[in-house]
Amino acid sequence: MYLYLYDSFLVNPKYRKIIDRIENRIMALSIDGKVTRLTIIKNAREIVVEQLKRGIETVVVVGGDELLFEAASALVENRGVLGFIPIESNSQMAQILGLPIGEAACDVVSARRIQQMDLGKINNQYFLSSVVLGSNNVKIKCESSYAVDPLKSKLIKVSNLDWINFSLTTHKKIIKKEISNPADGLLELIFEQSGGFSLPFFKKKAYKKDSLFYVKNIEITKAGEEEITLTVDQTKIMKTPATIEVAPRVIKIIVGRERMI
Amino acid sequence: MFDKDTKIRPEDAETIIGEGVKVEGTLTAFGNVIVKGHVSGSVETKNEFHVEEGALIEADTTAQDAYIAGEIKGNLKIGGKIELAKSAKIDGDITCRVMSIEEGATFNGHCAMGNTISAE
Repeated sequence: MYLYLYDSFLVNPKYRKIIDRIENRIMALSIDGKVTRLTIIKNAREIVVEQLKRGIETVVVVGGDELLFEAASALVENRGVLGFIPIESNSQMAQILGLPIGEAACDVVSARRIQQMDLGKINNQYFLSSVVLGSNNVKIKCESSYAVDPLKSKLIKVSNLDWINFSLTTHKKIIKKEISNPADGLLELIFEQSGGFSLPFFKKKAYKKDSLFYVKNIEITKAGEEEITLTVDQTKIMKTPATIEVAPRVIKIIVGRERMI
Repeated sequence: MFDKDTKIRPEDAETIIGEGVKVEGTLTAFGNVIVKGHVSGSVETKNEFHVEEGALIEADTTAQDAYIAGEIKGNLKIGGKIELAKSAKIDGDITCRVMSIEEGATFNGHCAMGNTISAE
Protein backbone atom coordinates (compact mmCIF):
# COMPACT_ATOMS: atom_id res chain seq x y z
CA MET A 1 0.00 0.00 0.00
CA TYR A 2 1.20 3.48 -0.93
CA LEU A 3 0.94 6.72 0.98
CA TYR A 4 1.50 9.90 -1.05
CA LEU A 5 2.62 12.78 1.13
CA TYR A 6 2.03 16.11 -0.66
CA ASP A 7 4.26 18.98 0.40
CA SER A 8 2.53 22.05 1.88
CA PHE A 9 3.77 24.35 -0.92
CA LEU A 10 1.73 22.35 -3.44
CA VAL A 11 -1.47 24.16 -2.36
CA ASN A 12 -0.29 26.99 -4.61
CA PRO A 13 -2.47 26.83 -7.77
CA LYS A 14 0.62 27.05 -9.99
CA TYR A 15 1.32 23.39 -9.16
CA ARG A 16 -2.20 22.18 -10.13
CA LYS A 17 -1.20 21.03 -13.62
CA ILE A 18 1.88 19.11 -12.52
CA ILE A 19 -0.10 17.42 -9.73
CA ASP A 20 -2.78 16.40 -12.24
CA ARG A 21 -0.14 14.87 -14.49
CA ILE A 22 1.43 13.01 -11.56
CA GLU A 23 -1.93 11.66 -10.41
CA ASN A 24 -2.78 10.48 -13.92
CA ARG A 25 0.57 8.71 -14.22
CA ILE A 26 0.14 7.07 -10.79
CA MET A 27 -3.27 5.74 -11.88
CA ALA A 28 -1.87 4.50 -15.20
CA LEU A 29 0.89 2.61 -13.40
CA SER A 30 -1.57 1.17 -10.84
CA ILE A 31 0.46 2.46 -7.91
CA ASP A 32 -2.28 4.65 -6.47
CA GLY A 33 -2.83 4.89 -2.73
CA LYS A 34 -3.77 7.16 0.10
CA VAL A 35 -3.04 10.89 -0.35
CA THR A 36 -2.26 13.22 2.53
CA ARG A 37 -1.84 16.93 1.83
CA LEU A 38 0.39 18.54 4.40
CA THR A 39 -0.42 21.90 5.90
CA ILE A 40 1.62 23.93 8.34
CA ILE A 41 -0.32 22.40 11.23
CA LYS A 42 0.12 18.76 10.13
CA ASN A 43 3.33 17.09 11.23
CA ALA A 44 4.76 14.86 8.50
CA ARG A 45 6.63 12.65 10.91
CA GLU A 46 3.54 11.91 13.01
CA ILE A 47 1.52 11.14 9.88
CA VAL A 48 4.12 8.71 8.56
CA VAL A 49 4.46 6.89 11.87
CA GLU A 50 0.66 6.63 12.18
CA GLN A 51 0.18 5.37 8.60
CA LEU A 52 2.93 2.76 8.96
CA LYS A 53 1.03 1.38 11.94
CA ARG A 54 -2.06 1.14 9.70
CA GLY A 55 -0.27 -1.02 7.16
CA ILE A 56 1.23 1.47 4.70
CA GLU A 57 4.35 -0.10 3.17
CA THR A 58 5.61 2.63 0.85
CA VAL A 59 5.66 6.35 1.63
CA VAL A 60 6.12 8.58 -1.42
CA VAL A 61 7.03 12.20 -0.81
CA VAL A 62 5.67 14.53 -3.49
CA GLY A 63 7.42 17.87 -3.12
CA GLY A 64 10.79 19.09 -1.90
CA ASP A 65 13.96 17.82 -0.22
CA GLU A 66 13.00 19.08 3.23
CA LEU A 67 9.90 16.90 3.37
CA LEU A 68 11.95 13.94 2.13
CA PHE A 69 14.35 14.43 5.06
CA GLU A 70 11.46 14.59 7.52
CA ALA A 71 9.80 11.46 6.15
CA ALA A 72 13.12 9.57 6.16
CA SER A 73 13.59 10.14 9.88
CA ALA A 74 10.17 8.55 10.49
CA LEU A 75 10.91 5.50 8.33
CA VAL A 76 13.89 4.21 10.24
CA GLU A 77 14.54 0.58 11.11
CA ASN A 78 13.20 -0.59 7.71
CA ARG A 79 9.56 -0.14 8.62
CA GLY A 80 8.69 0.88 5.09
CA VAL A 81 10.08 2.02 1.76
CA LEU A 82 10.60 5.69 0.92
CA GLY A 83 9.92 7.05 -2.57
CA PHE A 84 10.28 10.59 -3.88
CA ILE A 85 8.56 12.51 -6.65
CA PRO A 86 10.47 15.79 -6.81
CA ILE A 87 8.57 18.82 -8.04
CA GLU A 88 11.20 21.50 -8.43
CA SER A 89 14.25 21.32 -10.65
CA ASN A 90 16.60 22.59 -7.93
CA SER A 91 16.12 19.44 -5.83
CA GLN A 92 19.56 18.23 -4.73
CA MET A 93 18.22 14.87 -3.62
CA ALA A 94 16.53 14.27 -7.00
CA GLN A 95 19.89 14.61 -8.70
CA ILE A 96 21.72 12.38 -6.21
CA LEU A 97 19.02 9.69 -6.20
CA GLY A 98 18.70 9.79 -9.98
CA LEU A 99 15.08 10.91 -10.10
CA PRO A 100 13.50 12.92 -12.90
CA ILE A 101 11.34 15.90 -11.92
CA GLY A 102 7.53 15.60 -11.92
CA GLU A 103 5.45 12.78 -13.39
CA ALA A 104 8.44 10.94 -14.90
CA ALA A 105 9.48 10.08 -11.32
CA CYS A 106 6.29 7.97 -10.99
CA ASP A 107 7.88 5.40 -13.30
CA VAL A 108 10.90 5.20 -10.98
CA VAL A 109 8.61 4.67 -7.99
CA SER A 110 6.80 1.94 -9.92
CA ALA A 111 10.09 0.22 -10.89
CA ARG A 112 10.94 -0.10 -7.17
CA ARG A 113 14.72 -0.17 -7.47
CA ILE A 114 15.35 -0.17 -3.73
CA GLN A 115 18.64 0.72 -2.05
CA GLN A 116 19.26 0.20 1.62
CA MET A 117 21.00 3.22 3.15
CA ASP A 118 22.50 4.55 6.36
CA LEU A 119 21.12 7.46 8.30
CA GLY A 120 23.00 9.80 10.57
CA LYS A 121 21.95 10.26 14.15
CA ILE A 122 22.55 13.46 16.09
CA ASN A 123 21.71 13.39 19.79
CA ASN A 124 19.38 10.46 19.01
CA GLN A 125 17.54 12.24 16.18
CA TYR A 126 17.93 10.75 12.72
CA PHE A 127 19.04 12.73 9.66
CA LEU A 128 19.34 11.71 6.03
CA SER A 129 21.59 14.33 4.47
CA SER A 130 24.04 16.32 6.60
CA VAL A 131 24.90 18.42 9.63
CA VAL A 132 26.68 21.73 9.05
CA LEU A 133 28.36 24.14 11.44
CA GLY A 134 29.93 27.43 10.45
CA SER A 135 32.42 27.87 13.26
CA ASN A 136 35.86 26.58 14.19
CA ASN A 137 35.31 27.40 17.85
CA VAL A 138 34.59 23.76 18.65
CA LYS A 139 36.32 20.64 19.89
CA ILE A 140 35.87 17.58 17.71
CA LYS A 141 36.59 14.06 18.86
CA CYS A 142 36.26 11.11 16.49
CA GLU A 143 35.77 7.44 17.40
CA SER A 144 36.60 8.40 21.02
CA SER A 145 40.27 8.06 20.02
CA TYR A 146 41.49 11.14 18.20
CA ALA A 147 40.76 14.86 18.16
CA VAL A 148 40.66 17.08 15.10
CA ASP A 149 41.49 20.72 15.81
CA PRO A 150 39.69 22.73 13.09
CA LEU A 151 42.35 25.54 13.24
CA LYS A 152 41.47 27.78 10.25
CA SER A 153 38.35 25.90 9.11
CA LYS A 154 35.32 28.05 8.33
CA LEU A 155 32.80 25.34 7.64
CA ILE A 156 32.51 21.83 9.05
CA LYS A 157 30.12 19.31 7.54
CA VAL A 158 29.12 15.81 8.57
CA SER A 159 27.60 14.15 5.55
CA ASN A 160 25.59 10.97 5.07
CA LEU A 161 23.92 11.66 1.72
CA ASP A 162 25.00 14.96 0.22
CA TRP A 163 27.41 16.65 -2.16
CA ILE A 164 30.95 16.77 -0.85
CA ASN A 165 32.75 17.93 -4.03
CA PHE A 166 36.20 17.12 -2.70
CA SER A 167 39.21 17.12 -4.97
CA LEU A 168 42.89 16.84 -4.16
CA THR A 169 45.99 16.45 -6.27
CA THR A 170 48.78 14.40 -4.74
CA HIS A 171 52.13 13.48 -6.28
CA LYS A 172 50.61 10.29 -7.72
CA LYS A 173 46.97 10.94 -8.50
CA ILE A 174 43.98 13.22 -8.46
CA ILE A 175 41.35 12.31 -5.89
CA LYS A 176 37.78 13.38 -6.63
CA LYS A 177 34.75 12.64 -4.53
CA GLU A 178 31.42 14.20 -5.48
CA ILE A 179 28.87 12.54 -3.23
CA SER A 180 29.10 10.95 0.18
CA ASN A 181 28.45 7.23 0.24
CA PRO A 182 25.24 6.52 2.20
CA ALA A 183 25.71 2.76 2.30
CA ASP A 184 29.23 2.31 3.69
CA GLY A 185 28.40 2.44 7.40
CA LEU A 186 30.48 5.62 7.70
CA LEU A 187 29.91 9.37 7.78
CA GLU A 188 32.09 11.85 5.90
CA LEU A 189 33.51 14.63 8.07
CA ILE A 190 34.64 17.55 5.90
CA PHE A 191 36.58 20.67 6.84
CA GLU A 192 36.52 23.71 4.57
CA GLN A 193 38.60 26.86 4.61
CA SER A 194 37.85 30.21 3.05
CA GLY A 195 39.60 30.93 -0.21
CA GLY A 196 37.80 28.80 -2.75
CA PHE A 197 36.95 30.01 -6.23
CA SER A 198 33.91 32.28 -6.56
CA LEU A 199 32.65 34.57 -9.26
CA PRO A 200 32.25 38.21 -8.19
CA PHE A 201 28.50 38.33 -8.83
CA PHE A 202 27.86 35.41 -6.45
CA LYS A 203 27.55 36.81 -2.97
CA LYS A 204 27.85 33.38 -1.39
CA LYS A 205 31.20 32.82 0.31
CA ALA A 206 33.53 30.41 -1.42
CA TYR A 207 35.26 27.68 0.56
CA LYS A 208 38.11 25.38 -0.24
CA LYS A 209 37.79 21.75 0.87
CA ASP A 210 40.71 20.95 3.15
CA SER A 211 40.25 17.69 5.02
CA LEU A 212 38.11 14.58 4.82
CA PHE A 213 37.62 11.87 7.44
CA TYR A 214 35.48 8.72 7.41
CA VAL A 215 34.04 8.12 10.84
CA LYS A 216 31.35 6.27 12.75
CA ASN A 217 31.17 8.51 15.77
CA ILE A 218 31.84 12.22 16.35
CA GLU A 219 31.52 14.32 19.49
CA ILE A 220 31.29 18.10 19.03
CA THR A 221 31.57 20.44 21.98
CA LYS A 222 32.07 24.19 22.27
CA ALA A 223 35.64 25.46 22.64
CA GLY A 224 34.66 28.89 23.93
CA GLU A 225 31.92 30.36 26.09
CA GLU A 226 29.04 30.15 23.65
CA GLU A 227 27.29 27.04 22.39
CA ILE A 228 27.62 26.60 18.62
CA THR A 229 24.68 26.22 16.23
CA LEU A 230 24.41 23.15 13.99
CA THR A 231 22.06 22.97 11.00
CA VAL A 232 20.62 19.49 10.51
CA ASP A 233 19.25 18.45 7.09
CA GLN A 234 19.29 22.10 5.95
CA THR A 235 16.46 23.13 8.26
CA LYS A 236 16.58 21.95 11.86
CA ILE A 237 18.72 23.94 14.26
CA MET A 238 20.53 22.30 17.17
CA LYS A 239 23.21 23.44 19.59
CA THR A 240 26.38 21.87 20.92
CA PRO A 241 27.14 19.54 22.62
CA ALA A 242 26.32 17.02 19.93
CA THR A 243 27.06 13.34 19.48
CA ILE A 244 26.79 12.26 15.87
CA GLU A 245 26.88 8.63 14.80
CA VAL A 246 25.96 6.49 11.84
CA ALA A 247 22.97 4.17 11.89
CA PRO A 248 23.97 1.62 9.23
CA ARG A 249 21.41 0.47 6.65
CA VAL A 250 18.29 1.44 8.53
CA ILE A 251 16.24 2.83 5.64
CA LYS A 252 15.11 1.64 2.21
CA ILE A 253 14.87 4.28 -0.52
CA ILE A 254 13.67 3.94 -4.12
CA VAL A 255 16.39 5.18 -6.49
CA GLY A 256 16.59 5.84 -10.21
CA ARG A 257 18.83 4.28 -12.81
CA GLU A 258 20.77 7.57 -13.12
CA ARG A 259 21.61 7.79 -9.42
CA MET A 260 24.97 9.22 -8.35
CA ILE A 261 25.44 6.83 -5.44
CA MET B 1 15.11 -5.59 -5.64
CA PHE B 2 18.17 -4.77 -3.54
CA ASP B 3 21.61 -3.78 -4.65
CA LYS B 4 24.33 -6.19 -3.62
CA ASP B 5 26.41 -5.34 -0.59
CA THR B 6 29.74 -3.91 -1.59
CA LYS B 7 32.92 -4.03 0.45
CA ILE B 8 34.53 -0.64 1.05
CA ARG B 9 37.55 -0.21 -1.18
CA PRO B 10 40.54 1.64 0.38
CA GLU B 11 40.32 4.37 -2.25
CA ASP B 12 36.65 4.95 -1.38
CA ALA B 13 37.39 5.91 2.21
CA GLU B 14 40.59 7.91 1.92
CA THR B 15 41.33 10.02 4.97
CA ILE B 16 42.73 13.37 3.86
CA ILE B 17 44.33 15.53 6.53
CA GLY B 18 44.80 18.99 5.07
CA GLU B 19 46.81 22.00 6.15
CA GLY B 20 43.80 23.53 7.88
CA VAL B 21 43.47 20.97 10.69
CA LYS B 22 45.59 19.26 13.32
CA VAL B 23 44.97 15.67 14.41
CA GLU B 24 45.94 14.41 17.85
CA GLY B 25 45.46 10.89 19.21
CA THR B 26 45.15 7.39 17.81
CA LEU B 27 43.94 7.52 14.22
CA THR B 28 42.86 4.15 12.84
CA ALA B 29 41.76 4.70 9.25
CA PHE B 30 39.50 2.54 7.07
CA GLY B 31 41.33 3.30 3.83
CA ASN B 32 44.39 5.15 2.57
CA VAL B 33 45.69 8.09 4.63
CA ILE B 34 46.98 11.24 2.92
CA VAL B 35 48.54 13.91 5.10
CA LYS B 36 49.27 17.50 4.12
CA GLY B 37 48.89 18.90 7.64
CA HIS B 38 49.95 18.00 11.18
CA VAL B 39 49.36 14.70 13.01
CA SER B 40 50.54 13.70 16.47
CA GLY B 41 49.92 10.45 18.34
CA SER B 42 49.72 7.29 16.25
CA VAL B 43 48.41 6.34 12.81
CA GLU B 44 47.27 2.92 11.66
CA THR B 45 45.97 1.78 8.30
CA LYS B 46 45.98 -1.51 6.45
CA ASN B 47 46.42 0.49 3.25
CA GLU B 48 48.63 3.29 1.92
CA PHE B 49 50.09 6.15 3.94
CA HIS B 50 51.08 9.28 2.00
CA VAL B 51 52.84 12.20 3.61
CA GLU B 52 52.99 15.17 1.29
CA GLU B 53 55.70 17.84 1.29
CA GLY B 54 55.17 20.33 4.13
CA ALA B 55 53.32 17.84 6.35
CA LEU B 56 54.51 17.05 9.89
CA ILE B 57 53.93 13.68 11.54
CA GLU B 58 54.85 13.29 15.21
CA ALA B 59 53.54 9.77 15.48
CA ASP B 60 54.32 6.08 15.21
CA THR B 61 52.76 4.71 12.04
CA THR B 62 51.68 1.28 10.86
CA ALA B 63 50.66 0.91 7.20
CA GLN B 64 50.90 -1.44 4.24
CA ASP B 65 52.80 0.92 1.90
CA ALA B 66 54.11 4.45 2.39
CA TYR B 67 55.24 7.46 0.36
CA ILE B 68 56.98 10.12 2.43
CA ALA B 69 57.75 13.63 1.17
CA GLY B 70 57.20 15.44 4.48
CA GLU B 71 58.71 15.31 7.96
CA ILE B 72 58.27 12.37 10.34
CA LYS B 73 59.28 12.17 13.99
CA GLY B 74 58.38 8.62 14.97
CA ASN B 75 58.71 5.01 13.93
CA LEU B 76 57.31 3.55 10.72
CA LYS B 77 56.21 -0.07 10.47
CA ILE B 78 55.46 -0.72 6.81
CA GLY B 79 54.27 -4.11 5.58
CA GLY B 80 55.34 -3.59 1.97
CA LYS B 81 57.19 -0.75 0.27
CA ILE B 82 58.26 2.65 1.57
CA GLU B 83 59.37 5.44 -0.77
CA LEU B 84 61.26 8.45 0.58
CA ALA B 85 61.11 11.46 -1.73
CA LYS B 86 63.91 14.04 -1.85
CA SER B 87 62.04 16.33 0.56
CA ALA B 88 61.50 13.54 3.16
CA LYS B 89 62.96 14.02 6.62
CA ILE B 90 62.69 11.10 9.02
CA ASP B 91 63.78 10.89 12.64
CA GLY B 92 62.81 7.38 13.67
CA ASP B 93 63.13 3.70 12.88
CA ILE B 94 61.76 2.06 9.76
CA THR B 95 60.65 -1.54 9.38
CA CYS B 96 59.70 -2.52 5.83
CA ARG B 97 60.08 -5.10 3.08
CA VAL B 98 61.20 -2.82 0.23
CA MET B 99 62.64 0.70 0.45
CA SER B 100 63.52 3.37 -2.08
CA ILE B 101 65.27 6.60 -1.15
CA GLU B 102 65.54 9.55 -3.49
CA GLU B 103 68.71 11.63 -3.37
CA GLY B 104 68.28 14.46 -0.87
CA ALA B 105 66.06 12.59 1.60
CA THR B 106 67.15 12.64 5.27
CA PHE B 107 66.85 9.54 7.41
CA ASN B 108 68.16 9.28 10.96
CA GLY B 109 67.27 5.97 12.58
CA HIS B 110 67.50 2.22 12.31
CA CYS B 111 66.12 0.24 9.41
CA ALA B 112 65.04 -3.42 9.41
CA MET B 113 64.19 -4.86 6.00
CA GLY B 114 63.42 -7.99 4.10
CA ASN B 115 60.98 -9.82 6.32
CA THR B 116 57.32 -10.00 5.49
CA ILE B 117 55.65 -7.71 7.98
CA SER B 118 51.91 -7.45 8.25
CA ALA B 119 50.42 -3.97 8.60
CA GLU B 120 47.68 -5.39 10.82
